[in-house]
Amino acid sequence: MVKLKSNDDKEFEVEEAAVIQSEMIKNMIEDGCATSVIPLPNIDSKTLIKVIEYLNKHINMGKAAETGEEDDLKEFDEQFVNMGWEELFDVIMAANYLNIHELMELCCQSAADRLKNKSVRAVREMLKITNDLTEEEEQEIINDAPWAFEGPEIDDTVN
Amino acid sequence: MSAKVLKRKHFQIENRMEATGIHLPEQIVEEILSRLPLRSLLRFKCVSKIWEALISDPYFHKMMMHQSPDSNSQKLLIRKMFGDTAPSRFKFYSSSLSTFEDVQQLDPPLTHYVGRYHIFSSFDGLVLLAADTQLFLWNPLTRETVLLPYTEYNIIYTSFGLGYDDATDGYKILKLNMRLKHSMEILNLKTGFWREICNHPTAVCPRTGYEMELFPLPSKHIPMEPLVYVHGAFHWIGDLMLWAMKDYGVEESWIVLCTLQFNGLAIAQPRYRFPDRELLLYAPGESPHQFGIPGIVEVENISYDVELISALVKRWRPETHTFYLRIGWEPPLDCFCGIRIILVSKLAAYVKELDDINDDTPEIEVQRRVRLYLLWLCGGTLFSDKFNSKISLDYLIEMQDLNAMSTKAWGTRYMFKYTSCLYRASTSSSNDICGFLVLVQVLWAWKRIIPLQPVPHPLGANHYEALAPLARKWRRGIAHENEARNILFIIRDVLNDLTIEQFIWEPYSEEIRNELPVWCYRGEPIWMARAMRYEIIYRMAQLILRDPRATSEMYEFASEVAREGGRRRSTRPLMSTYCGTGSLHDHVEG
Repeated sequence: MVKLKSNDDKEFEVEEAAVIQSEMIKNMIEDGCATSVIPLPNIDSKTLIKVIEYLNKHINMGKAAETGEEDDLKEFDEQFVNMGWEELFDVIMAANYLNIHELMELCCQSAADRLKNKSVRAVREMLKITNDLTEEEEQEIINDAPWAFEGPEIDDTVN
Repeated sequence: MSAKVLKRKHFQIENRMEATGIHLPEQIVEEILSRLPLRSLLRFKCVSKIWEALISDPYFHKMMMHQSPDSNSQKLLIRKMFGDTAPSRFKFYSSSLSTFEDVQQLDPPLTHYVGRYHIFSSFDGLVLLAADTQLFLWNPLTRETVLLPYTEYNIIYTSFGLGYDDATDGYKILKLNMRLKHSMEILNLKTGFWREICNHPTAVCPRTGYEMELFPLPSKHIPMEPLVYVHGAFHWIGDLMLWAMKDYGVEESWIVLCTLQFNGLAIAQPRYRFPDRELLLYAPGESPHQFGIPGIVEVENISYDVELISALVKRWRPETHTFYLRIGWEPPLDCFCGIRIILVSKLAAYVKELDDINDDTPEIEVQRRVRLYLLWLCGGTLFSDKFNSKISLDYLIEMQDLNAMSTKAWGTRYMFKYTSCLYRASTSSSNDICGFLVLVQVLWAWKRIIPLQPVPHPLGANHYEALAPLARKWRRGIAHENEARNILFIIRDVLNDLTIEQFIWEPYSEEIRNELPVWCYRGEPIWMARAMRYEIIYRMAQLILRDPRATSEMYEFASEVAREGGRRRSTRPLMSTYCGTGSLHDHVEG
């Protein structure tokens, strides 16, 4: 068992088999630096719970393929990424910090899928980005590839 | 992710997503953006300055490019020709490689009128195209085009390949010229200059044991096809072996990937190599082009000038199989390369039906129409006789196997028929002449004798006729003002008083010959061969030997030729194999 500590001082016990999916922690264990609690100053407990949930579910990745639980895992992944933008970005940041490749992949793809067909306005609103381009600059970009800005699939909603 | 070493300049812009407490390093924004399709990316440049900078960064482009392509993103580019539609007769489509349902029409690469697009090669989503004579690169996804430095080329003899050289980290274009002197040139897109490369690949021919130079499709019988660049090498099919050039200019790097087995498939071109080592080949179906007759279709119908033909027949010398004019004999037979494209057809109706054939037409229907067309063509036009255009059994036998038929030299064969028709008309008391006389009128008289030449209307602004038969210019409309026609004695006077300036010895200039499509050259070795001229000289010799007026000098020469002839008879079977059944000699004998 490995103990992880979030930035709000909560400790979590995770099976070693699960936690070594994180390259960072795997390296720490191999280097013998993981004898006591591993502090994770970048991750809050809410996010860490999510990550541990993912790690525990994916602990038997190899086995799942053999036992036909792949669909089950897929369903879990779909459910897992069903969260708000802020939460999703927190998980991405955690996955990046802990270097969990599969989780990073899953969340980034989910983010990309959500953005894919959105209009510029919708993206700005969803991600709360302030537009710092001038109107001329914006028009120039549109003129470069007007076809990218028109089409029935472009979605202006923000959900 | 963090294991990746990211060598790149860092943006000066403070990189924060505003106001929410969501702080995403650019690295992660990039990670998300790299999973988006191009269309979304171009749109999202508008989101903010940071996003615009990220998406426009060359490093980002490279990262996108080197992501492993999944089979869904691979597309097949299709070029299709239509009737007259603006701005070009050509339309482009992209199709998924896995299914045939997902076909989308693309915007044309250029907005102005283009007579003919030719796809040479594609790599990395870029397409190397020619619009008439201008080479350019096209990215169908971003709809961007870049014109390339000018280089002289000819679609029939030149092939271009587009590839990426890891060593210099840039795109390069390989140009192969198969005409006259084989040459290879490379255009480095970074420098923008063409450079000739000298070392050619060679391999030992398995049959003869000789070392031979390797070029894509080293045969005139198959049109030049695009070089395909995959797995870091150029690929092509030559002599039914798939070759790959592993490395530019390194001789040892040419390897045979596999030998292909075809069943009656004359032309197959590699189009794509799947990661699982399957090959996508393109094999065009049977079409009039494969029989070397599209020229007939294109020239269509030109009305006969009976008087002109009569006057010419009068000047036909059966001894030499040539027309006799005051300025000399008809030029030798090497002007015959036009034979395949000069021929004319009245077959508009049938041709229209041929046009209706598309990819969905059942094979049996295609065959039926092509055969019907060929029947008309051979029986009614090319090999007509004076007995109600019944078709000779010889030709019917030839038509049993259309593939075999397309390999015969019909142009050469027709020339024998043509000379024999003129022979009969000029020697016997016959008042009729049969055969395909447009050849006499257009190929011979109009093209060569200036006082008999009508003036074709000039080409319209948007017309393009480079690959059309030479005689087609008279289909545009004719101004009959300056030439002699329709009145026998005037035409005879013209022929009698012909001066050397009024005669065009070589209507097919080198320039025009270079423009001719490949099928015009099929059989060229045959009609260019000495064997055929020799037939004529041999016949002349026989006549001289029988002629009591021959001088002793002439007699000596003739008997030498005749003796030579006895030894060279063995050339005949060779010619017969090219010309089909053994009827060749009968035609010569007339």
